[in-house]
Amino acid sequence: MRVSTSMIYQQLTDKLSENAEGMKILQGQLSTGYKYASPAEAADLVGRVQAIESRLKTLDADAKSVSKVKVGVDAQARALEVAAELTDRLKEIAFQGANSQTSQTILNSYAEEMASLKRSLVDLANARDADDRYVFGGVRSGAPPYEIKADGSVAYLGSGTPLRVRVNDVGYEDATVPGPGVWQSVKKDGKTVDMFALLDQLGKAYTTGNLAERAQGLMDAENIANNIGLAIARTGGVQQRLEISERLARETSIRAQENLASIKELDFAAALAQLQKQQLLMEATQSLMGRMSQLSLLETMR
Amino acid sequence: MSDLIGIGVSGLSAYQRALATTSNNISNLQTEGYVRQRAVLTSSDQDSSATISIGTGVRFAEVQRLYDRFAEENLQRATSGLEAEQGMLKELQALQNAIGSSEAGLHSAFQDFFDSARELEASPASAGARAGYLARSEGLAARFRALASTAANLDEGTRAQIDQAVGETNTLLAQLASLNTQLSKRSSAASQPMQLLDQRDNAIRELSKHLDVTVVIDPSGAASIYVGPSAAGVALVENGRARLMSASFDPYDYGKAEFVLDAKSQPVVLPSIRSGLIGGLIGFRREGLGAAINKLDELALAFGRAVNKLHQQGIDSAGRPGEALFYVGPQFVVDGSANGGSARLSVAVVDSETVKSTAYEMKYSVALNKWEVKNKSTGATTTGGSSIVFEGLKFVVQGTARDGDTFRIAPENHPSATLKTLIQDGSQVASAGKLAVRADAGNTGATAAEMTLGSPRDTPAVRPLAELLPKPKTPISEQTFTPGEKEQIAPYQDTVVAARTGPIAMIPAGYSKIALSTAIGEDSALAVFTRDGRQISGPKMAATIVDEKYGFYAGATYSDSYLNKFSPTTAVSGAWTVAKRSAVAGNTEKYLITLSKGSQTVALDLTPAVGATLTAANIDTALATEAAKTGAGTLAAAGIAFRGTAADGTLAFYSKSSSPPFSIAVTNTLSATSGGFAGSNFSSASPVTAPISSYLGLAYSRGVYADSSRQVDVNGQPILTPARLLGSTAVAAASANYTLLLNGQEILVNTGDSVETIRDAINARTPSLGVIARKADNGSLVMTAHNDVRFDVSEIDTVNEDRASLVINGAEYSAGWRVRISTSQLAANNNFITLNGDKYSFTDLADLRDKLNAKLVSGEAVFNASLTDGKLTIAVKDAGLTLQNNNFLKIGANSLGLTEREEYFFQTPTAATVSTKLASFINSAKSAVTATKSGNTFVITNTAGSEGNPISIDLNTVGLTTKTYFNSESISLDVKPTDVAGNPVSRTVLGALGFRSGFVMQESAAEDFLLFGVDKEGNSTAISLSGTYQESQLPAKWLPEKRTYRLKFEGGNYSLIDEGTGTVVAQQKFDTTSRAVRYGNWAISLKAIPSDGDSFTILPNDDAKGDNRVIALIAKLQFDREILPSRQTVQSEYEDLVNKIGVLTVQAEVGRDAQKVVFDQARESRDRISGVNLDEELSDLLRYQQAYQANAQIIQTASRLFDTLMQRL
Repeated sequence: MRVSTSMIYQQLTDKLSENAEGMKILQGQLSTGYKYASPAEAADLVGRVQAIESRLKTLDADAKSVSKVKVGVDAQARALEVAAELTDRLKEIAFQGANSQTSQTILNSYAEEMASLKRSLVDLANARDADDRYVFGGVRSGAPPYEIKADGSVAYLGSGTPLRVRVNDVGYEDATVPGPGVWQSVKKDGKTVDMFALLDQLGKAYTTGNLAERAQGLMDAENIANNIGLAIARTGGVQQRLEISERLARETSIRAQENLASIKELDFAAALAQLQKQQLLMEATQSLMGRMSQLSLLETMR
Repeated sequence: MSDLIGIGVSGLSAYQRALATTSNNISNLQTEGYVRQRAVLTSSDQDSSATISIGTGVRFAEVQRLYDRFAEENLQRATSGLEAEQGMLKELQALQNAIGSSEAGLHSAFQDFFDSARELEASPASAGARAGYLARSEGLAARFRALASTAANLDEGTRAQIDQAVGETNTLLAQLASLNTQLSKRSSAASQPMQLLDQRDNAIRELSKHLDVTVVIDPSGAASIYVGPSAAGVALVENGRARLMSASFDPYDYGKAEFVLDAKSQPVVLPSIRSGLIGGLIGFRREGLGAAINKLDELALAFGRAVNKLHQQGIDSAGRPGEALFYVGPQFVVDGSANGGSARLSVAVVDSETVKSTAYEMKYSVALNKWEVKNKSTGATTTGGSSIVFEGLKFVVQGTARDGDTFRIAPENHPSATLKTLIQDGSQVASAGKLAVRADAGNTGATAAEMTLGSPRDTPAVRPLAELLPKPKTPISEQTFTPGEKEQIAPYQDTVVAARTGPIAMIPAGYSKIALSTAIGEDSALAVFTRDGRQISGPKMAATIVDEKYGFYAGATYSDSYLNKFSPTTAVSGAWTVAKRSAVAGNTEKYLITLSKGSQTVALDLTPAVGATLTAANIDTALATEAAKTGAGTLAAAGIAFRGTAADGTLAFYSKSSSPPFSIAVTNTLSATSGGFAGSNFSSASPVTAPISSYLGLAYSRGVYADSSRQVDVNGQPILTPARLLGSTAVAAASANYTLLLNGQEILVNTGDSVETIRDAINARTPSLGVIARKADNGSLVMTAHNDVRFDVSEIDTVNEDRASLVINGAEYSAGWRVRISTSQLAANNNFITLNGDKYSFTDLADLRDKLNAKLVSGEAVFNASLTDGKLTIAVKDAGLTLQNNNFLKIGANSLGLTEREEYFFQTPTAATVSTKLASFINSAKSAVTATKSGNTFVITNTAGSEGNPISIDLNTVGLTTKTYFNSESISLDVKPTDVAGNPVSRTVLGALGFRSGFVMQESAAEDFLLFGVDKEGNSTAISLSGTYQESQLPAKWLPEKRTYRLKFEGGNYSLIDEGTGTVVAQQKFDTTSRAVRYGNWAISLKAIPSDGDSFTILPNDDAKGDNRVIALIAKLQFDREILPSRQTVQSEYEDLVNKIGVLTVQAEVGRDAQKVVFDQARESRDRISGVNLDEELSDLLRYQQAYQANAQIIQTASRLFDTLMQRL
C-alpha cells in the first residue's frame, strides 16, 4: 500500500497533538482535583453535578430553617414547662379552696395568689425566644401578644396565623404560634370562657367565699392544666419532628456528598497513572518522529 | 547502426522527461492539492518494412495524473462532515462551558435565590434577610442576563463565521467558474493542463469545507457544483457561471437562517445546509444556541411571572401592596416601513400570563377585509378587524391599509436579556399575605385556621356576554336603555337568544356600564345571578337552577334574599303620619331632624309655619332644598341622601358608604302631633338590610322593570352622560287604570290618559320626583333625571353687591353696580385707568374723581364717582334693568390691578337687585340653563332639551363649589301591582308606554354574573336582547383580598358575609373532610371542625412585618411543577437544558471522532493514489537515471560500433 511522505508526517503530527491535548487535560484535572476543568470536558455530567450541588444547598437551608424553628419551639416548651408548674400550684389552691372548711383569711390569700398566677401566666404567654420573637403571637411576633387591660381582662393582640417555616422537602413547622391555640378557652356552663378570665372568676370566688364557685374552680383548674399539658405534648411532638428532620437532612447530605464526589472528584492514582502513560506515548511519538526522519532513502543514497 | 543511435536517443529523451516528471513530483511534495504525476513510456513503433520485427526504441507517451474521482469525492464528503462536526463541537463546548458552570450557570443562582427566600421565610422581620433576598434576586437576574449575553456573543460569533464562510464560498465558486471557462477551451480532460485540474479539485475540496456539494465533471474536466448530496440540488456553478450566495438570519430566532442565491436578481432560497462548516454552525444555532436561548427566555418569563404573581399577591413590611419583583419582558417593536398604506399598528400586552416572547407577522387582505396575525414560531394564526387580541397581545390598527400591507412584530429583546429586579429596598419585599384570618373569641370548635391566597376557584365555562352581544352593536357610551340620542331613537338591534336551561351568557367581574334590555310584554325577562347562587334580578327562579353544570360554583346554594332589591348601602327609614304646628303666634314648637355621620352633623329644620301642617309635600320641598346645599354640615358633605316621602308613608335617608355609620335624632315638639317621626322610627324600627346590590357594585339593581341610572362617579371619574329613561315606541293612550311608582312616588294613570297627560302629571311634581318628562318623537314617554343647582342669595346682594360673577358651563355671567378703588391700590406715581376706552392718568383718588365727574358734567360719560372713607366708587349713572348701550363700564388697561373686562352694570343698589339682575343676564343669554329666584334660593336649571345634562359651575363669587353638578337622583320606575280598585295590574303597562325591561349597572361588577332568559314563572325561554357594556377591569376595592369577611358556621353550613356591606355573598355546606372554605382567590383551611356559632374574620393583614406566607410560597416555587408547560421545576428544566447541550456536545465529540476516522481514511485513500512518496520518487529517480545512463551507453556503443566499422573501411 502506498503511503505518501506527507501522510506519514501528518499522522505523526496528529498523534503528537492528541497526546499534547491529553496531557493538558490531565494536568488540568490534577491541578484542580476534579475530573474536569471545564464543563465542556464532562458535558454529560455537569447537569447532574449541578443538581446534586443544589440539593446539598437545599439540605443546608433545611438545617438552618430547623435551627430557626427550634429556637421558637424550645422557647415555647420552656414557657409551657413553667406554666405546667404554675398550674400544679393552681390545682393545689383550687383543691384547698374547694374545701368548705378553709377560712376566709386563707381564701383571701388564695385570691391574691390567683392574681399573681394570672400575671405569671400572662408573662409566659408573652414569652420571647432567642431571636427576640414573641412565640405565642403568631406572625405578629414583634410585640407582646397578650395585654392586661385596665379592667383586668386579658386581650390577645397577636395574629391568628402561625409563623410556618419549611423544614424539609414536604414538612412545615410553626416557629411561633397563635396564643389562643395554646392558652385555650374553657367551656363552662355551656359558654366559652378564656383561661385568664377563669382565674379572675376563681379569685373572685375566693374573695366572696362562694363555695359553689370554689368547687367549680377545681374543675376549671383541672381543665386549664389539661390544656397546658396538651400544649406541652404538642410542642414536644414538634421538637421530636425537628430532631428527625435534622437527622434526615444530615444523612441525606452525606449521601449526596458521596454521590457528588464519585462524579466530580478525581481519582488521583488513576490520573497519575494516566499521566505517566500519556508521557510515554508522547515520548514514543517524538522518538518515532526522529527515527522516521532518519529513515530516508536520500540518506541511504548518500 | 543509425537505428541503434535512434533507439538510444529515444531512451535518452524519454527518460529525461521521466526524470523531469519525478523531479516535479518531488518538488511538489508539499504543494496543497497536488496530484502525483507519472511518466508513461511506451515502445516505439516497429519497423514495418523489415521482415524481422526489430524495435525502434522507447517513446514518452504521456504524463499521467494519478487521480481517482471516487477517492476525491470521498475526501470532499469526509471533509464536509468533519468540518461540520468540528464547527458544531467548538461552539457547543463554549455554550456548555457557560450554562454548565456552577459559577455562571442558572442552577446555582436559582438555588441561591430559593435559599435566600427560605432565610427570609424563617426570619421575615429581618432586614438582613430582606436585603439578602433582594441581592440574590438581582444575582439571579444578572445570571440570566450574562447567559443571554453569552448566547448573543455566540450568535454574533457564529454569524460572523458563517458570513466569512459564505464569502469564501463565493470566492471559490467564482474561481471554479473561471477554471471552467479555461477548461472548456479543450474538449478532453486528458488534454487539459494538469495544474488547472489540480486547482479545480483543490477549490472543490476547499468548498466542501464550507458546505456539502455534489460535483459533476464533464468530459472537458469542467465541474458543475450542486448544493447537497445529489446533483438534483440547486446549482452553484454551471459552466462559466457562478451564483452569488448570501446569508440572512432571523434576528430573534437564533435557530433560523436563510441562504439565498442571486439575492439581488433572481433569488433562490437554498434548502437547509447540513454539512460543512456552515452546516455545522447552522446545526449548532438550531439545536444548541436556539434551543438554549428559547429555554432561557421561557424560564425567565415563567419564573419571573410566577414570582411577580405571588409578590403582587402579598404586601410588604409597611403593609403596601406588593409590586412586581422582576421586570419581565417582552416589549414589542413594530416594523411596517415597507407598507403602502397609512395604517399604523400598536401592540400592547394585555395578558402578561400568556404572552409569548416570539415574533409575529400581521398582514392585511383587501379581499377578506381582514388582518391575519401569525405567530412566526408556531405558525398559529388568527384573523380579525382593526383590533385583535391574540396570545396575550392586543394588536390595534389605525389608518388605512393597502392589500398585502404587512407589519413585522418582534420582541425588542430576549426576556432573559432584560430580566432585572424592580425593587431596590428590602422593606418593599412583599413577604406577607394580604389577608389574615382570626378566630373570634369564644370559638370552641375551631380556634385556628390557615389562610392561603391562591388561584381563583374553578369557574365552569359559560359563554361571555361579549360573544352574545358583540360590539359595536350599540355605542359603548350609552348608559341608558336607549340606543339613540335624545328622542332620535334608533330601532333596537335585538339579538334573539334561544331558550336554554342554563345561562345564556356571563358578565365577567369588572364589567361596568351595563344596560341590557328586552321588550316588555313578550313574557321574557332577564334573570341575573352571582356564581354563588345569589339571584339579584328578574323573576324568581327555582333553587335547582343553582348547579355547577349551569355555571355556578361547586356547592353554591340558591338565595333570593337580594332579589330585585333596590336600596342603598345603609339606610334608615321611618313611618310617617301628619303633624301640625299650633296656631298660637310665636310658639316655639319645632320639628328637627339631626343626622350624624362621622364628623358631619346635619341639622334639618322641617318646622312648618305657625298653624301649618307638616306634610309629605312640604318635607319633600324642604329636604330638596337641603340636599342642594354644599359645604360643612350639609347632607352632601355627610354623604347622606334622602328618598322622598313615599306613598307607604316612610321617609328614608341613606348613605352609599356604611362606614362610618350614621345616626338620626328627631326633636318633635309640635303641639298637634298625631304622629310624625320619632328617632326610634329611624334607628331601629325598620332598619334596611344592606343589599347585595351595593356589594356587587350595582348602583341600582332594580333595573328589572325600566330603571335608569343617575350620574355616578366610577372611581371618582364623573361620567358625562345624562340619566334618561325612554323606550322605543308607545301606545297613544293608557288601556287601564294603574298607578306608576316613579322614584317611589305614585302617579295615577287612568284609562285613556294620553302620554301628554302622564307627562304633565309627572312634571307637576318635578321638584319632589326629581324627574322631568316629555313626549318623544316616536310617542314614547321620555323621563329625565332633573337636576338643578341652588344657592342662597341672602348674602350675595349685600356682600357681593359690587359685582357678583358666576361661570356656568364655561360662560361668565355677572351683575353689579359699582367699581371701588381703595388708596392701597395706588402706586407712588404713574397711576392710570382706562374706562370705556378713555385713559385717565391721576395722582390720587381725588384727582381721578374730579376727572371722571368732569366727563359726566360734559355728558361724555354715564358714570359718576364719589370718594368716601378713602375709597373711590365709580357707578353707572343710568338706572333701570333694561340694558342700554351706554350703561356699562369697560375697564381697560390700568395700574390698579383691576381685571380688564367689559360688562354691564346698573345703578340701583337695592338688596334684591344683584341676584335678580344676575338671573336676568343668565336668562337673556338663552343658553342651556335658566335661572330663577325663589325667596332666598337662586336656582339654575337646565332648559328644555338639556334636561339631565350636567351643570358645570366654575369661578364664582356666590359661594358655589367649583364642580360639575350631575343629576342628583336616579329614576326608578315601577307600577303598583293593583289599581285603586284592587284589580291586578301587569307590568306590561310599562311596555305600552314604550319602556323596556332589563338590567342596569353603572359600576363594575364585583363578581361574575350569570344571565338567564326566563318567563314570568322563572322557566327558561327565548329572549330578545339588546345592550351595551364596557369591558373594564375589576376595581381594586372589589378585589376579595381588599375586603373583610365574616365566616359563620351554623348547622353544618357556613355563611360568608362581606363586612363592608353586610352582604351574605356565599352560603354552603361545610366540608368536614377538607375543612376548607374558598372564596374569590383565597382559601382558608380550618385546623379543627368548627362548632355551631364559631366564626372567623378574614381581613386585610395589618401586621405584615412578621408574616412570611407569601415568601414561603415564593420559596416553595423551587418545587413547583405548574409554572412551566413541561411540568418540571425551574431547576429541573434548566438541568434538562444543560443535559441536552451536554448530550449534543458528547454527540458532536463522537461525531467529530468518527468523522475524523472517515476523513483520515478518505485522505489515505486519495493519498494512496495521488500522494507523493519521497522514497518512491527517489527510487524512480534512480531508475530513470540508470535507464538514461544505459541509453547513453547504447549511443556510445553505437558510436563505438560505428568507429570500428569506419576503421575497417
